[in-house]
Amino acid sequence: MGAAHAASIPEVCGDAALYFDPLSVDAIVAAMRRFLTEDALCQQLRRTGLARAAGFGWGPAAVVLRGALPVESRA
Amino acid sequence: MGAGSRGAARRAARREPRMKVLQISKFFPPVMGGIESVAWELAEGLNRAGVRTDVLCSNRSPVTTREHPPGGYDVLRSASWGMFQSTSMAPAMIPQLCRLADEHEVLHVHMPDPMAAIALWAARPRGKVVVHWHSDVIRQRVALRLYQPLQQWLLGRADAVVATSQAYADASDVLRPWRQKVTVIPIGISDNHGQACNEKAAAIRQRFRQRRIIFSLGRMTYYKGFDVLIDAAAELPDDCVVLIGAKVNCSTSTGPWSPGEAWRERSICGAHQRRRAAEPFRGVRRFLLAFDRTR
Repeated sequence: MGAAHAASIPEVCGDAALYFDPLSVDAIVAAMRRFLTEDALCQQLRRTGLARAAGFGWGPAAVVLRGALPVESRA
Repeated sequence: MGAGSRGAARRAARREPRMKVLQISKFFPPVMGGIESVAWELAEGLNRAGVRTDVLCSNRSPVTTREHPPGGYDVLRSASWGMFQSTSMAPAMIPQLCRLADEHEVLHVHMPDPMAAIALWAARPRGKVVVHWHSDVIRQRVALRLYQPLQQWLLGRADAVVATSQAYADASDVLRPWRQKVTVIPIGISDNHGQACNEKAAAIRQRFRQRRIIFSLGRMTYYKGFDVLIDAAAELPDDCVVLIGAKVNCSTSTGPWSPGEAWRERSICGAHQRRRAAEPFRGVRRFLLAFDRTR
């Protein structure tokens, strides 16, 4: 996966993305060319990305949200 | 939500007295967007877990509608007279929230949404207020001056504030004074796109079997950077194609819908070509993530 090195994206994607300057056409072209020619890079990012995505489940989010609800509302 | 956590949530719900939650979102699916998706996941997940959760949002037309999705909850879409400064002008939301606030113990509002903030200020709810903070208001600087006092009132009134990442909570000037109320809950990744996506991805690969595909996904809006991507795509060799997956028509539909409908067709941009096509990214080997230019 390729992603912009901007906003919250690096925090979310971690080491599972090839980053580029999102406002630079040249940087995006360079990243896409690497994707098109480096199969090993694609496979590695795919593996890392799937592993990272597994950590963003709604189940854990629901548990934390329930804990965040005001006590009177939960009791 | 996963089956295990659903079971745990159901058991927890059985131990606790019934409470009702109202999700307040600018829009709600089938209108697609990041905040809308989160509100949908929460409404579906909480109802599955036995916590009755209804939705109040803005409509895309000057008509108020009420829907009953298969999850067994109510979605009230307040009549809207259009968009101004990225805000849906839906004054009907104010009396509707005043009424619904008394029927729900927890009001969970997704920000930024000045219309919802006005409605909450007018309703003065007795129940608990959870503010889900998706983003600061950045671009509308003039409107922000007017909105800021209301925003401060809402954060002061909130019993809990949800931020989507620790880094964002730390970096937000607006949230900093309310840090003691902030809980970080990362946005989940839904696993419910399944088989239909596989079939559509196979159809895409079949259609472009002679070409190498790079797929990008995001809402087709000005700050996602697709204009830069389209310029970059023109620099690629002819045997490459950049597909941009996004929903074209965001108008409200009152009929049944599924998350799969989000993957509507949109332009294909590659080597100066722009064609219509589409579809989800499962199985795609090269993926570019759209970004948010407003932050």
